[in-house]
Amino acid sequence: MRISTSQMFLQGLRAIQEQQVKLGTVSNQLAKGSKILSPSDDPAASATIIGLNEDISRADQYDRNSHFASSRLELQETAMDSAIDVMQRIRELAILGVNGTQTTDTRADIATEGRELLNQMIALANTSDANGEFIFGGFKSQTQPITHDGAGNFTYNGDQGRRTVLVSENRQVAISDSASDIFLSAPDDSTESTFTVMWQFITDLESNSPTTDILGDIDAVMTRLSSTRSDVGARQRSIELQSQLNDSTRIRAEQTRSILQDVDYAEASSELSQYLTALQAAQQAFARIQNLSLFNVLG
Amino acid sequence: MASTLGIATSALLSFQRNLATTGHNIANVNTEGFSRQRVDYSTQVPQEFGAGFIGSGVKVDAIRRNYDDFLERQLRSSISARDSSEMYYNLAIQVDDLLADQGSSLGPQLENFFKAVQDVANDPTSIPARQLMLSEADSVVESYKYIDSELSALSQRVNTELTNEVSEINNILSGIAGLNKDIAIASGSGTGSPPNDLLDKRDQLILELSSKVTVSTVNQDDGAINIFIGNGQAAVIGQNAATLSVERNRFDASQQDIGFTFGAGSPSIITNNLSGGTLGGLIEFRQQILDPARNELGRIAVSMATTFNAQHDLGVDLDGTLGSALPDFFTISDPQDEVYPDLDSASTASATVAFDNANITKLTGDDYRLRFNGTNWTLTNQTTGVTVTGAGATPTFNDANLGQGLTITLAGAPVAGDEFLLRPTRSGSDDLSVGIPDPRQIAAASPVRIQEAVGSTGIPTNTGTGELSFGNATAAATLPLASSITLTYDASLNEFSYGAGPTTFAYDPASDAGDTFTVAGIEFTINGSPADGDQFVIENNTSGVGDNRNMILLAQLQTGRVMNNGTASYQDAYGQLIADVGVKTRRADTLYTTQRGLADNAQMRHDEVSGVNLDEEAANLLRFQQAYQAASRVIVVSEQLFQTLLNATGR
Repeated sequence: MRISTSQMFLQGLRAIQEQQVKLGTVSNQLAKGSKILSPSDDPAASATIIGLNEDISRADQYDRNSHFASSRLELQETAMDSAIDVMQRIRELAILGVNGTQTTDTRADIATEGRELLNQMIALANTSDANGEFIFGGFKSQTQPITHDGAGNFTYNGDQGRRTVLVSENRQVAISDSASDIFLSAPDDSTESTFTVMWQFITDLESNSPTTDILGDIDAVMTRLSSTRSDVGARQRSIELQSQLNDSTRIRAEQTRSILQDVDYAEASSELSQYLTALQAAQQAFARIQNLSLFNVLG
Repeated sequence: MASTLGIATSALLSFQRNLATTGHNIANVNTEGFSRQRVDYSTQVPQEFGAGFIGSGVKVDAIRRNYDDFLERQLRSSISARDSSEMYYNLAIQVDDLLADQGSSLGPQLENFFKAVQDVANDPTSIPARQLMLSEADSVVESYKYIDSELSALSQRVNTELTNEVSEINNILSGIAGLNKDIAIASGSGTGSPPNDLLDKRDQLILELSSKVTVSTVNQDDGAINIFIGNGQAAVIGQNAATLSVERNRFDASQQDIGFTFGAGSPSIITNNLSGGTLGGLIEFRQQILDPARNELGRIAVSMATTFNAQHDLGVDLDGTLGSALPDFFTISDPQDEVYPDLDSASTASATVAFDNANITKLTGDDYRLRFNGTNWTLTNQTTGVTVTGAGATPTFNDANLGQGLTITLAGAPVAGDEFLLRPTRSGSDDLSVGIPDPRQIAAASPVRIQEAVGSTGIPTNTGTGELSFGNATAAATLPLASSITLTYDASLNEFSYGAGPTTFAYDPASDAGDTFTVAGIEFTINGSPADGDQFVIENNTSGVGDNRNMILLAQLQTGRVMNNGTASYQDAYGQLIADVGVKTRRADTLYTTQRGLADNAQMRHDEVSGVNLDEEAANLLRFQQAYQAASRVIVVSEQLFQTLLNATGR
């Protein structure tokens, strides 16, 4: 077999170029930290990675939603705790008010405190969040939920809507309860509400004719408030649980993605030095072979 | 004595030829396509002497090139295959990178958009959240447009390259025809020696042609070579060359085809007959990767926009306006823009194409061809080859007979042979835009709500435990409700009644709890046990600005399997596009690597015969120099002998 001079030259050059390409690829992989530089390097893995990226992005968003839901529910919890405190105080005042030692004047004083507490309760039902949305207004979040004409007529202007938040692909958690559920529905009498009970209590005192009957109504309101309060707590816990599930979903997706695309640094580094050595060898071989010419010897 | 001198002189002249040929070989060591040459000698006719024959020296018979026709042909075909796969790969890898690039890829943009959708769902009255959603929608649109514009630029590049290749091929063809002429003249000159350098030059041209398109050759007796391309089109016959030209596509003037003309007449289109070489690579890339990728991207855009719009239509915005009364959330391309009549036909036939929104999940990214045979129209899916026949001159193709998310209506008076090319999703990406200008117009709320009846102060009046879900609209047509609908429960009959009739439907708490019911196009579920006379009211969601129900349904479209007959989400479809292009690119890469190896081998075997080796030439130089010196010595000896004789006789 013979070989032409240009073939000798090209073969040497090609050997160098091949090593350079390998070197370029592995150093690019090291720089990017990814063994997939183009989808064609591993088409199936690339399609999977697209899906995993989406899963991870969604898990991030569910996390964000959960935080949002938690903070909304916390705001509601705070308002409801205050409402329960208010009703506790009303209950104390009610017991105090029926006491036979009370006079018209002292009952008027208690009634004055009762009015303050009523205003506080109305304010609580009209609680708004950082964006100015009324949290107990149902879907009508920009309409003040409770209005009072000053004569014992309380009107609920919201609706019975409850906003939900996606905390996972198929799981929604309610982040609001309308005032109609919490403040307006006393369990034993659908015509009465938290506010009418309070109003009854105040007017009874002001007319100096309190009765112990009011205590039953107050207890019904408190039961309603407490049960919603614990329902909110339960939702908080379920959000937390779902967050943990989301975290583990995300971690699994990230691990899978890492297996598919992350470069194995140890392996890549050893490949790098291997290709470097090969490149040097190819260069040396090229230089030595190219120096060989019969013309050099002929002088 | 005279003959010794004659012999020596013939040797000197021959070795001079040898030295010159060696020099020529050395000089052309780097000349592409050069075949090393050698001098063939033979002895001169001997002179008859009394005692026998005496040699009379050497003569040069011919200078020939070291050449193997079989190896040359092998080299040509391997170079065609190599350069075709190289061109294909170099273009394919650009699409491959483009689709997955973190900066331009659709994937992250879709993710960000749906994140913004969920943020609006969390906080539907927040104008900044709504604004962000609109700008993320813009980014999604920009991403579609960017990828499509890059693909379109590649398409332009393919057109430019086709033009360049065609003009180079024409130069080569006329070069070969010219050389055929020169070679015929040189061969006929009677020297008996082949015109080596002309032959090399022509072989080199044929090799360059092979690099552009697959060729086959037929040697002629007069030394000419006839060249054929495609499926037997005669590109060079003797001293005449054909002309290739770039022609506009019969349907789409922006698409270029390759025309072929030999002698007079109008060009015939041979685009689909060409293969191999850079030209073949360009055409294959356009057919297999570029056009399908644009169609597929357009399909994802159309599907996304259609399904998102449909859900958006079923909501109400911050001001209580129904989504269907607002501009579409996304403005979708008009498939009519991608209906191409046969530019050469003058009939009045027309084809109208529309997306079938209700069946958009069946939409394909395929091209279609309509053809009228004089009686019926036939629709052919260009990708699958499946045909559907529509009876008569004005048939309709729709979900019933086609089932591919399209409605195609034909009108006018067609003549036999009329054709249309349809590429319904081709401009889906480029013509996509966000149609909603005002963040308040995002229809985050549902148009209706269902709640318990309330007294004058807003206190619910029901006494039972029955609960109705808030209700979702299923069709925009029945909205907004003309008036509220009150459902009244009759516990003795276990049924709800409503309206003037009244209309009733059964609900038994024991068996129907959790079931879904529909009243006036509003879908809801019922749970619990309503008390006798309990009432529920279905009403327009007036002032329900804090409602996010429609937004959640929109957010859930991210994972909704609304494409590929309900088997893929938008992101799935995009992932499949990436995988599809990736697989083709990878195959091209593998093919290129293989073909390059084969071409290298073919080149090596070819050069084994024809290539110049400088060491070999150095040795030859030495050998011929020595022979030349020896012949010179013979002349000296001959001269000395003559002197001896002169001296002897001169005394």
